[in-house]
Amino acid sequence: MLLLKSVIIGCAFLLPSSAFAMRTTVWDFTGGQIPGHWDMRGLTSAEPIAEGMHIATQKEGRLMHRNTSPYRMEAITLTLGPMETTEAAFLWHVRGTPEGVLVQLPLVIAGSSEDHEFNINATAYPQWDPYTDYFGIALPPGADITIRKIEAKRWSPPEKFLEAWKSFWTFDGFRPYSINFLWGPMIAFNPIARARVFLTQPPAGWSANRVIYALLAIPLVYVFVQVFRSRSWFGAKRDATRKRAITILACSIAGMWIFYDLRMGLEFLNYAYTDYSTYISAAPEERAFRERARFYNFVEEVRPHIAGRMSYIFMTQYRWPYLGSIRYMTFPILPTDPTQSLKGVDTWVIYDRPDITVGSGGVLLLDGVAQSKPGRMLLQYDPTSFVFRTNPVP
Amino acid sequence: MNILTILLGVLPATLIGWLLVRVVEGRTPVLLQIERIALGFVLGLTLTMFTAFVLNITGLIAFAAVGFAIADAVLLIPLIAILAWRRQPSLFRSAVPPPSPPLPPWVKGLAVILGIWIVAKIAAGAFILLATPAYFDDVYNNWNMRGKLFFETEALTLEIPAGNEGESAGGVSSYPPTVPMVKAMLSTIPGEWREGVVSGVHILWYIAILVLLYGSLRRRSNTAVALLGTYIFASLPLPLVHGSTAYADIFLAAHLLPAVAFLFHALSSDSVEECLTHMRLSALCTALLVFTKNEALVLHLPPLLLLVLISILWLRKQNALTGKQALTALAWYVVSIAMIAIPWIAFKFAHGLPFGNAKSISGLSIAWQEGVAYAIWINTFFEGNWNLLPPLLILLLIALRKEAFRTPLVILSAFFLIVYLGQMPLYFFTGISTEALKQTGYARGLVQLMPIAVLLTTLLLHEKAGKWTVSSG
Repeated sequence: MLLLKSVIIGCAFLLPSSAFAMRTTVWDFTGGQIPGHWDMRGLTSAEPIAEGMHIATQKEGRLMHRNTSPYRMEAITLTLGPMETTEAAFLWHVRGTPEGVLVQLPLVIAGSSEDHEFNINATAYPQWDPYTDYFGIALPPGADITIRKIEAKRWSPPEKFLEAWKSFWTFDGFRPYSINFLWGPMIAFNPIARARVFLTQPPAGWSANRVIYALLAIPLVYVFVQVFRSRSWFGAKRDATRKRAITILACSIAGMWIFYDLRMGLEFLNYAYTDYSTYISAAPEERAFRERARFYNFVEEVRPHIAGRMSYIFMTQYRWPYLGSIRYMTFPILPTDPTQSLKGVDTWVIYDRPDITVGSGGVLLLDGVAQSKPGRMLLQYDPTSFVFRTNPVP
Repeated sequence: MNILTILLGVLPATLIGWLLVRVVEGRTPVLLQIERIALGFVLGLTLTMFTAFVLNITGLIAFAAVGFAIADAVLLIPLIAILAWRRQPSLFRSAVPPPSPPLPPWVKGLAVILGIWIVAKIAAGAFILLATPAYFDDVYNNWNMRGKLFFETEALTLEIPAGNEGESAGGVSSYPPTVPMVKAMLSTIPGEWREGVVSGVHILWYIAILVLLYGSLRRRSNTAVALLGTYIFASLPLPLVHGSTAYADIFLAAHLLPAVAFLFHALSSDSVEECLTHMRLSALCTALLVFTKNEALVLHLPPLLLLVLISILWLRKQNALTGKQALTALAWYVVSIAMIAIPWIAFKFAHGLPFGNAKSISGLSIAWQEGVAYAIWINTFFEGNWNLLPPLLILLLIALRKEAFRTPLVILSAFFLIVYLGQMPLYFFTGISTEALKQTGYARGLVQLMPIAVLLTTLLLHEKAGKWTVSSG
């Protein structure tokens, strides 16, 4: 056994290191070069400059590459210059399908004032062809981006195994759906997928239960074989073999059970730790609670300003979950709608509404249209959240 | 401070429950001391709230400190009187569990490590309940909201102001008010609504299930098996999340487990007295189960009563019970359930409250619902909700079908399967399919059944191990 292990390890060292390393194909546009063959269709302006390929288009267009690389592509990374948030699409042709038919994956590339990377975990999409012969991006009218480089990445089996192990120990957060189901451990095979594994619904990975069931199937099959054989044969020795098989199965299940419990238990402890570090013990100006961020902190600060009133006008972008939450938190003082200002409700609680501001006349403006009588700001929590009270009628 | 408030708040009800259980046990104690405390807490709190509910709707008390104290007194005085009148000997006597061989050192070591692990998880759950704000929908729309409403109005108010000029009179108001009443009662101690107090109490129902599981298993097996079952339940991720959230599914499960488990114990008792004591305890739990959540009445009660009836007939047929004993056992169920169900159902009818799970179950159209089977398959086997319990339980039910279906364990197997499979047509053929497709109601239904599934699984494992030991010998 020791010899076998030594041989395996020895062979591993003899292999070229490239066998264990990520392989990346790079198309570098910096220095005014255009690497390989790229089609530009419909773009108003696509200009190779020192910083990369600068595209500023007034019409919808595409930048496509005729791919001849023999290597499998599992993820695509775009390195982009400073830009505004842009809706785009990643396009590819699946070999064997008609030439003009492209699969389209809509993307929203978040804006940035610096160079940044945008990763596409292509293997997460069943339509993806890792050896696609034609791929690229489509841009909408008004897009203005600079592509520094495009990389196609693939990972070696040892790297994938390592990423799978790391992703098993990647925890989901305590989220609104956690009361109904927990995704559980997920398996992702590259760092790009692992970083985003719980950011999509459903998660971008395999359920680790698949692997666990597969592993447990081995002793289970062994038990079936032994049970089958012990029925046709007889003797104490056969019984002992069967018992040994069942013992192996029981120990495998027990071991896997505790292992699974450890994984999920740590995720649960992480919920508590995250709440502690981001909400309980955080500085008041930084307190954020799960995905609802500063909302609970905001309501705490609102309370003194609505005390003594029967109701207040509450406006936010999303009715769920904020209306129910604030109703409960401030009860018996109730949130109500803006029409109630006509009935004398004078306090406006505005949460996360960039479209609502206080105008120069001291009135609330919604997209520039007056919504209230003149009043004053009681609390400016942040630029989009505040408490406003109209002046008493003389 | 909040922890002390909670403990102080549940103390009278736990004492009432403890005394009630002791009265019901009579001269044949069947419970372990720790189990009696846990059961006393579960039943005492629900019974006290039911009493307060009756006193409130009859206009006798308000949901204020004095009102809840009166409800306590209404129960406490007769219970003490009964025990004094009976001159019940050895009030603190508990059941003697079967002998248990000393645990091997490695089992002791493992038990200590896993025990610490369980305590750490429960501590994290308690922390979440005590220190974080209401987060999940049904906490701030239902359980805590109604509690706050009862506390503020000091009455069983059914109309919930929905905010933005809406009113909600149906929906969640159709649920039994027990959990919100507990919150209102606890708030009367500090005299104000405290999130930590009203939510923190939920962890106690989770702990109660662990203790009840341990007690149930210890009565039928040795310490190692009892610890194993307790660990199995504590290792189920979704029930732990529910135990750490102010929802009522774990609360319901804390009633459902003893209601079904005591019926199982009745059938596997060594003596008539023990059998009848278990039946009485089961009757009590079944009755109070009605006052937990709507699904207890429509989903759990019918199969449980069916199993009760079959069990009593079977015991009579086996001459394990005389005709009079069988009738007495049946009467305990009928009278106990009637005492709780009649006032509650009458109240529901009087106020037009539906019987479904916050939505009416009548008038559902029948049509095949696409995607339900896949959603259930994923939730059951490929998510992190249940550790490896579903495949293990299925494997055991197949491999040990004789033990599962031809011994008293059939009570646990049959109840679990009837309730679980019984709700499948609702998911597959009615609009309730959204509960499965969106994974909202399906898993919660399983959370309620999980303690029973764990009890069954552990006892089947014990059966297997026992057989093995016997055949090895």
